[in-house]
Amino acid sequence: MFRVIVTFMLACLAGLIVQATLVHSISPYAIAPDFIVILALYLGLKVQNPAGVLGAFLLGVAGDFASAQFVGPTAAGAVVVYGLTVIVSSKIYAEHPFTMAMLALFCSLADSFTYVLMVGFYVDVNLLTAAVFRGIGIEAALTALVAPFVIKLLELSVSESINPAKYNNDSLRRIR
Amino acid sequence: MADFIRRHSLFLTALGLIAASFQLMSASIDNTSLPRLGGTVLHTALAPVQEVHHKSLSSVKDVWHQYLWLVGVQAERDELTRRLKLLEAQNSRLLEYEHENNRLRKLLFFKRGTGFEGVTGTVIGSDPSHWERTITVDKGSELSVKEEMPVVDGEAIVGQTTVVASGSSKVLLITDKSSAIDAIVQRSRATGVVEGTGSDTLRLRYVLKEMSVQPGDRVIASGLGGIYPKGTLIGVVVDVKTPNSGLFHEVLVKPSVDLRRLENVLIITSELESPAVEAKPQTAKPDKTKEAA
Repeated sequence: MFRVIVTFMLACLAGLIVQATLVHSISPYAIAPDFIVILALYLGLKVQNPAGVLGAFLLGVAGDFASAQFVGPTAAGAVVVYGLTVIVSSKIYAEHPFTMAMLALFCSLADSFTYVLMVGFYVDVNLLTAAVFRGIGIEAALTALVAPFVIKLLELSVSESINPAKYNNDSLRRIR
Repeated sequence: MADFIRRHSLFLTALGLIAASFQLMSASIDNTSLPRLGGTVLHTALAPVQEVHHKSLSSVKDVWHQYLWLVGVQAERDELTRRLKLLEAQNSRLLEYEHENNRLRKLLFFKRGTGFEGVTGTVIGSDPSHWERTITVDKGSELSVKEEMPVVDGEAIVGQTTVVASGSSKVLLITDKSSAIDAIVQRSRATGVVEGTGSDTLRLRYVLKEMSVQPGDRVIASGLGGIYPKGTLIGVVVDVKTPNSGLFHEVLVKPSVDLRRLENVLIITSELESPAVEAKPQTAKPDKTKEAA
């Protein structure tokens, strides 16, 4: 369990770094894939227990702290994404890359609307402008494009962390 | 109740966390230091990574820009090299024009100074054999060039035309073995005949021993013979030998013209009788010398 937490913390950090550095340096203030949504989606697919939803929540809080404006909207969005993923994955097979991409698209839209609703609930600003809608759509599309690859990458790294015995057996088998 | 909570623990947790989110949102609006505090912590943690990323990205950008810059420099260098070569070629052409201009000016001054009419020709060839010393000039009978016309380079005698065709003339150089010019040593007025030796020097023959000749004396055409204008420079004495036997000095003359590097020459087409006659100071020329020549 400790390894999983560390892996997710690293993944979360990597996501924030990518979001705050690499994406920014490629195109400052450009719309980029939402890595927190992807990580929450992964948790919803792989860790379907209270620890998973807590992990998603903490990811969201980290995202909120990264923006340093409000604390809560991204966290709520991540929990919504997690919940939606759990519900959808219990009904359909969500491991297929295309299904995963569609799920990521849907989750990203849900996350964005959660954010807008929450901020709109507390702050008297009209966030639902045409530009915001366009940005939400593009972000969701990019997230959907990237999600299958990121999740596959996480699967590869986390599976070895979660199941070191299997890894060791595989290694031993390879050596033999 | 415990069973319900256990069965729906996931969704209850999720609901609780959403509620916590609202609570956090509310708290962050009431107390703006909360997100700032969290942000400070997170940014403090992220800052080194961002710095490393920024530095590495800057390095990459620098390398990229330097590379692009070098590509630009390379292109600029190639362009400058090309222009330099072009300018060198132009400069070479201009130098050539300058030399040609100098040569032609000399020929023009010769024409003006002597009053002779002439045709300026360009040397287009030379005799390929070792036996004859001739050159070919690109002017011929179409410009009234005839055989036995004197050819000068503006300062000194080059030779005379021997074969004239339309568009070209063959010029027998003074260094050819068959060439002979009636000459005077300018300083002492000693007379003689300048003959070609087949090499780059000339021999002044039939200069009597009692006449003074010394190295450095200028040898000019006497005007006798009717081919070369009187007073035209032939060469400079470089060696004088006086043998015990015989009547004459043995004088070696170096032509004033570098006959190996001729490019432009003047073929004198006007009659020489009048200037030669007008140029009165004809020295007493022993007929026997001329006959001997």
